[in-house]
Amino acid sequence: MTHLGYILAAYLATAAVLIGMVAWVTLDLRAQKERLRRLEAEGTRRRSEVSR
Amino acid sequence: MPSVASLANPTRFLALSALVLPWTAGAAVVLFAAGLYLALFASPADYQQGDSVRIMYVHVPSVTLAMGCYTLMAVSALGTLVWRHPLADVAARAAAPLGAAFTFLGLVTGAIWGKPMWGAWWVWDARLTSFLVLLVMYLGLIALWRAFDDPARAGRVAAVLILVGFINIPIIKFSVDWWNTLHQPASILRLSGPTIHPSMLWPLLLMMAAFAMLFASLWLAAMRAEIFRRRVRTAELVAAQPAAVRGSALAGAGIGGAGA
Repeated sequence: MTHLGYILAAYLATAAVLIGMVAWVTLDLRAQKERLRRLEAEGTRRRSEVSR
Repeated sequence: MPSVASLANPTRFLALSALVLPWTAGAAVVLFAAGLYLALFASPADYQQGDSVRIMYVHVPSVTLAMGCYTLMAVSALGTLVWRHPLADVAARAAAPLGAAFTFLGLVTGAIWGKPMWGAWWVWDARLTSFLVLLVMYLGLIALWRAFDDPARAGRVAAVLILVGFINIPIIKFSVDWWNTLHQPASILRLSGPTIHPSMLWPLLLMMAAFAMLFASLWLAAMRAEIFRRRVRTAELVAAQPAAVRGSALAGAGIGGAGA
């Protein structure tokens, strides 16, 4: 295979960025869900829920 | 029958996206497995570029998504400014970091391909420069959203900037036709049809579909995270409100007490 080093570099860079994005979005989603769950457990409600 | 606006209600979006996300993520995994096999092993080397043509299978989907993501943000910006839809700004804000990442990836894979083919990692030609401007715009928008405490106000300002910046998308697309560039002209999206041989076109289309499915999954998940973030912010504001009122009352009493 010609230019093997360049091809490997391109695919490794792609894998790093895509895996990084998946990890970042997954961790952020989990963190926000956890923050909201904790607030609700403490009895804090959003205005729309308070007015019900 | 429910209207489109009612379907785009944040609570309904959370329910719908929870159903759709596993399917888009699963489709991305299957498409990547098939696409990578074809791109790396089953497709032929190019008669001029040799095997470095395989870089195209990750470069082209990245740049297509980078521009497509900005176009989706421009549509969302219209939703924010014209219809003031609550999900429109959430959609634009969630897409921006993903668009920035795909733009960065497009620049990096393009540079890695450019070195063996052009003899240079980078040239200041119209296509590359306008694409670099796209990355700067994404980063500027992310910084703008973070600069405001109020997400609704940030969303309106960002929406104006997104629409102004949209002028760069046709500039990127047609830069290879309007100016004399080192970058090759369009070979897929052409009025006369693609100029790539089917043995290379199909792996490329499969990889583009894989990238698109991954983007859809990440966008849905990022939108869900943004909705939860805003709910946390609202809940914290509600929780802080009585304390602030108490605080100001106490401060007033303190001043009065000192004077007495």
